[in-house]
Amino acid sequence: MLEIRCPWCGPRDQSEYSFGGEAHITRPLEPESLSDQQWGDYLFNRKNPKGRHAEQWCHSAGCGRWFNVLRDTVTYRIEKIYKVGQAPGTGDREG
Amino acid sequence: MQVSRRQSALSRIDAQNTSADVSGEFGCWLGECQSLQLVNLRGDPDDQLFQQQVNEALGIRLPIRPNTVTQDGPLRVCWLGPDWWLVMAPASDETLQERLGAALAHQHTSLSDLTGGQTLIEIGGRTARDVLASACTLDLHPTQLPVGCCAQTQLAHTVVLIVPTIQEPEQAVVDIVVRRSFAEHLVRWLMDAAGEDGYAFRQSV
Repeated sequence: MLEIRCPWCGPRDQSEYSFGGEAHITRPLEPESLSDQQWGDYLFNRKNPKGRHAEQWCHSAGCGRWFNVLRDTVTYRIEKIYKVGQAPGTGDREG
Repeated sequence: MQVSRRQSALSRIDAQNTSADVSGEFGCWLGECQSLQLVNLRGDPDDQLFQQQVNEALGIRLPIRPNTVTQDGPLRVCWLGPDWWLVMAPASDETLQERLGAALAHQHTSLSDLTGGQTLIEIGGRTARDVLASACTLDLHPTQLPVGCCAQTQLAHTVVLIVPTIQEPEQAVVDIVVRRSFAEHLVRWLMDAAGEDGYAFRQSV
């Protein structure tokens, strides 16, 4: 099981969190001007990298806040934890 | 006189049901506190006016540091999230919610009464923290979770708020705020975990 450090509550077990998929996906400002391909990409297509992956987690059994985690999908090592709205990979290095 | 129709969340558990260890002693006791009101409060902690008005209405400061509790006698405010608190006050303070509501009337805040939806389970005694540890992944040692701190976490697969209230190893007491409909499940889990060293029920207050 992963131990994830909530930016507010501190380190907690993975069972307290829910996973929210890939981070840094912004809704297009003018969806009506997109092609079906572009809209489909926004809605459904996600990266599936072997290696570093920026993802969203929610501390659902604690403070209920969403935040971002930069995690290696091969080693499961968490590199960075940073708040929503911050640039990818900002913040202190974990462990 | 108003007759209270409130039924204990543990009414289906026989309070005479106890278990003693081999020497006839009880390792811990369990009980429910029914004389509380629980109020959920949300607001912006960076808004000085919000903080000030809550402080005036309650008479104590809002805890801003994560996982901490502020207390004045029986009145407690627990930190649940960066903009989220739980106020625990005696049910006898009938004007509390009115005072808070009036103070926050014109602000972007949320105030809701959770008294009927949640309840407070108490566990105390020599083995109290060990019994809890069997149902929880959090480190409950007094150095990690001392009195004055609180933690929202999972206990026996249900979401709870754990608030240690008395630290002394022999007389430790820990309060657990839990959804009322999960209280019986939680207490039955704790009864099972406490069976080894024995447990007893305390009269609900």
